[in-house]
Amino acid sequence: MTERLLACYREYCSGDNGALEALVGLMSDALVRYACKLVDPASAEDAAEDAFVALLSRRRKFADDGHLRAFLFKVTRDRCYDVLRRRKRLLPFEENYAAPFPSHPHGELYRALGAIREDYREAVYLVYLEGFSADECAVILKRSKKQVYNLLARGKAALRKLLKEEV
Amino acid sequence: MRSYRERTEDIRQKLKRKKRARRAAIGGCTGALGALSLFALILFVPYTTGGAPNLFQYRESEYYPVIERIAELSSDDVVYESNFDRWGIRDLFGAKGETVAVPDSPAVNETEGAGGYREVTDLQTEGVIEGDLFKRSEHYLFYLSCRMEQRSLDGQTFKSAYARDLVPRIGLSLGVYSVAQEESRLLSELALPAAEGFVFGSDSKEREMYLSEDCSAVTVIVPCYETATGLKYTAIYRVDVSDPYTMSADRPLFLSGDYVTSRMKDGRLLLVDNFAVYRPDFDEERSFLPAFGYAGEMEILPFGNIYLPEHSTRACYTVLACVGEDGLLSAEALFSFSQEVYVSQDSLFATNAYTGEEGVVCTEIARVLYGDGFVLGGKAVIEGTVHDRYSMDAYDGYLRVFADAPADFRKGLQENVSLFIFEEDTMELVSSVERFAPDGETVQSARFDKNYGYVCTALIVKFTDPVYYFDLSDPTHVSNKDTGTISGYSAFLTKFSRGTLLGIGYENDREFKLELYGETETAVESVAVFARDAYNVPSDYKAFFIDREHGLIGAAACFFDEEEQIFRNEYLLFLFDGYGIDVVCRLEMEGEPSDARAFYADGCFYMVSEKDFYAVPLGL
Repeated sequence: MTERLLACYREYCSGDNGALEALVGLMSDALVRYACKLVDPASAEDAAEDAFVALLSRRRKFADDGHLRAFLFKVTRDRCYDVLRRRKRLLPFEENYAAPFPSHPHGELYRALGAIREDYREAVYLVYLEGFSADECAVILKRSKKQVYNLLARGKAALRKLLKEEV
Repeated sequence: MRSYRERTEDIRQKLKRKKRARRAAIGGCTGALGALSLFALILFVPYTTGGAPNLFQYRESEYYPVIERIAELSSDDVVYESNFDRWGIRDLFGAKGETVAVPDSPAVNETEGAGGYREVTDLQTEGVIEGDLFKRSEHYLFYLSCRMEQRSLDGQTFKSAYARDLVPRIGLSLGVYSVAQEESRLLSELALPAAEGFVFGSDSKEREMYLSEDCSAVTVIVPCYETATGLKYTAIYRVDVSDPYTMSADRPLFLSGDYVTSRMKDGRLLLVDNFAVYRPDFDEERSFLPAFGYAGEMEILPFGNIYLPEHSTRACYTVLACVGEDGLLSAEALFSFSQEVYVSQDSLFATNAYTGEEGVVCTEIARVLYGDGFVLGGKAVIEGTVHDRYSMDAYDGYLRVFADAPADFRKGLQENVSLFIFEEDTMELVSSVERFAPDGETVQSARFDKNYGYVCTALIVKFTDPVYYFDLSDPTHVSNKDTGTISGYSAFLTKFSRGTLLGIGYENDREFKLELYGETETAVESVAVFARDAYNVPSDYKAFFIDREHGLIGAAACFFDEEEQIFRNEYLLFLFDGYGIDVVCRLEMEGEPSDARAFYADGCFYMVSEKDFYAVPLGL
């Protein structure tokens, strides 16, 4: 999928407007899903669209698909935080998640995710559920690689503890 | 949840909106920057207003040779101007002045004869009276003050103060003091208002005055500006002081240029101005030709009275005027001559320095005979420049000149000092002693006294000097002797009592120095010296009081009080008893040291400045 992502972007840049729909199809769900962890669904959709607008309004160069994805997630996250800054409050994670994707097979895991600290949650989500590397995650979260590793370790420990308690 | 197609469409719309917004922002910024740049270009980019003007229209004018010369000299000085200045925006932050009349002081109802004239200024040439801040008769002392008028500016911004004519201006007043030992006091004061359309400038500190021989009139000379044109003039007031309690001033006579010097001889005032032509407007004759007369009635100097030398390096004139009781008697202008002017008993010598052939600096000395008008009496050219008027002297038919000889690196020559002797009538060189000082030294002070010439040469940064005595009794065989290298240097030299030579100068960069020199058969020796930390030492020789008869020297400066560890302005009176220099009187003063004047009469020492007046019995 990721190879197609960069190929679609290059096609769009070379003038193929139809490549935009393919690009949106490839990435928009993941972006909306991620944004929903932070803001309400309508704002999440807007944030995801804004990420595409930021991507397409200028011709940018990406070394590989990972960088392109990281860029989209980073912009989405920034837009979400802009929304939050205006509203000055964070919505509960479970509430956000439940709305766009009600029938996810790993419901317990998501609920547990909603119960841990926000920074642990973001790191765990991006690395283990969206498949970013620690480097890319560090770019998106604007942290160092070492901090990302720490967040992941602590996030996993917190999740483990919660899930054990439930069992 | 929206479909991919809907999201894509949304993204396309947002992209379009963003592109439009960006285009609008770029267009707006470009427009604003363009407008700002255009405004800045219009406002600040300078344009030249100088350069060589078209003189075709003036070729029929009798002054065309002068116009041509001025255009040639002033065209190099390209003047840059911007609309910021032209539209008067800068004036919002500056000031312009107009005349403010100051009310006269009330008269005192006492009368007493003035008595005979008593000269108080140390003259360069005997019989040729020089102007000064003060003059005296037997019974009265006249002092010319120049001070900033005090006006209340409480609660005023500068702009509102200017609009209400409250900006402080420089005022001039003539004070009369009685000369009556300890009972001396200020009797009356007359404020001299600037004429309509004129204002006194900050250089009004260069004011001077004369007292007529019958002590009935005072002639006041003061620099001023014409407010409408900004041109500089020298105003000449004649004040009736026959009754010192009811003094009155006539309307002033004006002469173009900066005041340089003046002399009074046989009741006639000889005035020397330096008129620098700046940005001439050839349609306005007063901007480039010397003018004289009363305000609103000025006349231009006839072309026949303007001397155009062969070499001219500056667009300026030395303007000479002879003023009698009834106004201007005669006037002459020397084009391109500088400010160093020496006036002897019957002649005036003006200098014009220029770079001659092979890049050597030369000075042309023009002799002008004054008596019934001005007559050019020959000229001489020397290599180098003339330090000041005391470096020239005419005596017994000879003109003697100490000159700074220029450096000539092609010949391996450093700056030095030369003496030239000319036959006065023909201005032909009789003899010279060239480059007699240590290499690199220049004239710091010079003085002639009959058959002797004295000069102090120094390289100022080293604070060492020799003082030379020249025996000029035989102009064709001049001999000299000197002190050798001694510390400090003299800025003024003058013959003093007991056959000594007085040098007033600096011991080092902090210490003011008085040194007396005497001569032996083979050398010049220091007889006595006084040195002390001092600041703000006057640069005008007239500010020092010299009384050869009693061996007194007076000097005002900012001295360091070692007891209280503070600096304060003091007037010190020194006595030379033949062995050493001692302070015999110390007066604390509020006024400026350069404005202090003093004299000694009938056992009483008098000191006057703008803010002080002392009469101290000394009984020497």
